[in-house]
Amino acid sequence: MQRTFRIFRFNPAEDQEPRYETFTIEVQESWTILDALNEIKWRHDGTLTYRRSCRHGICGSCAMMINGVNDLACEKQVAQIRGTITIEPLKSFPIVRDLLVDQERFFENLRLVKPWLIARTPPPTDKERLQSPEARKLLDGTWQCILCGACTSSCPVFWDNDNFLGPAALLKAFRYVADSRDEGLDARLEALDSKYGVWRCHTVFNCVEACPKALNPTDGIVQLRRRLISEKL
Amino acid sequence: MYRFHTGYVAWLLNRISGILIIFYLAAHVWVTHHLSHGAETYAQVMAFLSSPLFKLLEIGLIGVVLYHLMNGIRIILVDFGKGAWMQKRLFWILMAIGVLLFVICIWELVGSLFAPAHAAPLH
Repeated sequence: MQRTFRIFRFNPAEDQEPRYETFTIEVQESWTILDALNEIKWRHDGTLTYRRSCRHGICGSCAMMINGVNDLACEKQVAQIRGTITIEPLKSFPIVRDLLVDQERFFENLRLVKPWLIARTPPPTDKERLQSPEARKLLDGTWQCILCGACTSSCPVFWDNDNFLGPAALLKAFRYVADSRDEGLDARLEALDSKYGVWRCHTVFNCVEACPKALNPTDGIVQLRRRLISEKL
Repeated sequence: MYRFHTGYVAWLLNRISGILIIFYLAAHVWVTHHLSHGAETYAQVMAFLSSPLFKLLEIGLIGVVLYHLMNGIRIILVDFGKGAWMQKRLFWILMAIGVLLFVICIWELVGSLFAPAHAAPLH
């Protein structure tokens, strides 16, 4: 089966402007977009540049815009799309080359929310820090985030100012704030309760539309807001 | 622009309606400030504003304010309820209520246009 791919190309070292290159290749029924990109890179044009790693939707490396929709190249099937398949890099991040974007700002913002367990209580000496099944259940819909950047890349508030922590970092912050074992809200307040924190979200819901894991970062953000308000009251 | 979807369109229209309402508020303050210029000046301004063009703008104003109000309720429900999980459904439910209120308002407005009591000054 022949399929046509229209791929965004840009090499800042050589090109003045980005351009689109079309490849028509033989694909198999079961292929993902990543399989097709590999086929192009390995057999047609070795200069095609993109980031990929695990190829089963866990590492978050291969998020890109596929026919205008942010998705993971390794999870989106070629057969799910009709006609020419346009592949572009994630919006709003600086382009390193072709489909590869610089996510330094994205991870910098993530570091600001201290995405790790902060506990002052010493751990028990005879067992790990236990959590009730009910408390654990509250974290569902937060821990599944693989930090691919699809949500933050779609957020108009982040386009306007990339100091805004963005949906991914805020959902990750909520994952720890909501954890029954965590005592680090105070340590995270400086980032969360700032003008670039939770209050800057305009509930546009682009992040919810963009998430390849069907998570709801907006819900995490509004729950953080409620938590901050109740702390202040 | 990422993609057109309910949440994005709702946000965009909220921005636009908000800006329009600010313009209206400025115009409204300007109109009412004529009160300080005496009854005659104010009556002149009000006569000018009773032209059909302004009646049409009034209908538009009702629509804009109702949209902003209804979507505002949606945003409050997102922030203080479970709205983040049902924002699309909330949008359409609130828009349906908004359209209903709009029709009632227009009904009242059109009725008042043809009511004789308002057509002639009460001397």
